[in-house]
Amino acid sequence: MGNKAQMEILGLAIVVVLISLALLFAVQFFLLKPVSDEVKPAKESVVAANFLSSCLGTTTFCHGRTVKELLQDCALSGALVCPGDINSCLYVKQEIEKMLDASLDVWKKECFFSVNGMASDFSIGSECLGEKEYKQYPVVVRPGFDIIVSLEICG
Amino acid sequence: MEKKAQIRMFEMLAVLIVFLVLLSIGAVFYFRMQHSSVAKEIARAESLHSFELFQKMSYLPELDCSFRSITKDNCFDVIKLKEFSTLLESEEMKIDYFDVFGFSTVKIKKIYPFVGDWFVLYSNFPQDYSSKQISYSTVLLYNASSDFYDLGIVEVSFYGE
Repeated sequence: MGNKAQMEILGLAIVVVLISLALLFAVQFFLLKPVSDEVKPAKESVVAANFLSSCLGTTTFCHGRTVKELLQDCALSGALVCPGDINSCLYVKQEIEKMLDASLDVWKKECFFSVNGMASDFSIGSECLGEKEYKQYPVVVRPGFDIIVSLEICG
Repeated sequence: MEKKAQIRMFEMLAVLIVFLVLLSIGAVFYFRMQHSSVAKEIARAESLHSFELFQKMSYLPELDCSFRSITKDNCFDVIKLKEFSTLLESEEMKIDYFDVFGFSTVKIKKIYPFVGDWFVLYSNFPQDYSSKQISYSTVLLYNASSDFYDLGIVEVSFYGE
């Protein structure tokens, strides 16, 4: 009888070991394995950097000036009168919004664009709350006076 | 006594069957997981390859905006684009540039100041493809005749076999 009880305990122990192994497998596959895409952040970082560099270099209809030149004018005085009889600050914000709408908005990427370091700082969109890819681009207005143009793409 | 031995044998057989069933469930589970992790690895490799292709494409000297040997970053010359796409229509050039583009489609579209139509620079994809990875970004499009820099988007679709 004692021998039979011992055998049953051994069987129970084997069952416990098997269940523990199955649980370990499950934990390994479902919980411990990271499910992140390493390429996505790199891609979004490139998208952000490319947007900033291409946006700043784009020629506008405001006296044929580029976005960068309009931002420089906005930082200094905002004296330039652009189509629609608006100053360079308002015009450049409106044009950047159009560019974002035709690119990042179409790709369904939430973003936050901002220009800081001048009297009339402005931003487009709302700040990312979670993960984000951030790029900034300094624009020299005159020696010792830089403005920072930045773009966050929410993850 | 003979009956008791038979019952014991049946018991042993039942235990063996249960054990084998448990083992096969485990094996199915394990191989399914392995299969999905291999599929994930393939998807990751394809995504990486698509990104590589996109990066190569962004820095092609055949398309860049260079002025007296100074290259403007992230910029395609519209005239070069048109000429290059005409060249890429020939099978011989497609073979020459297969190392660069592989099985992919590269399209460019102007989005500012006005939204234009898609312009296909290169298109070569297999009849049967298992996956399609799309990468996109903004780019400057230089128009030498008006000396204007327009904003465009470039879309690279990579086909996995």
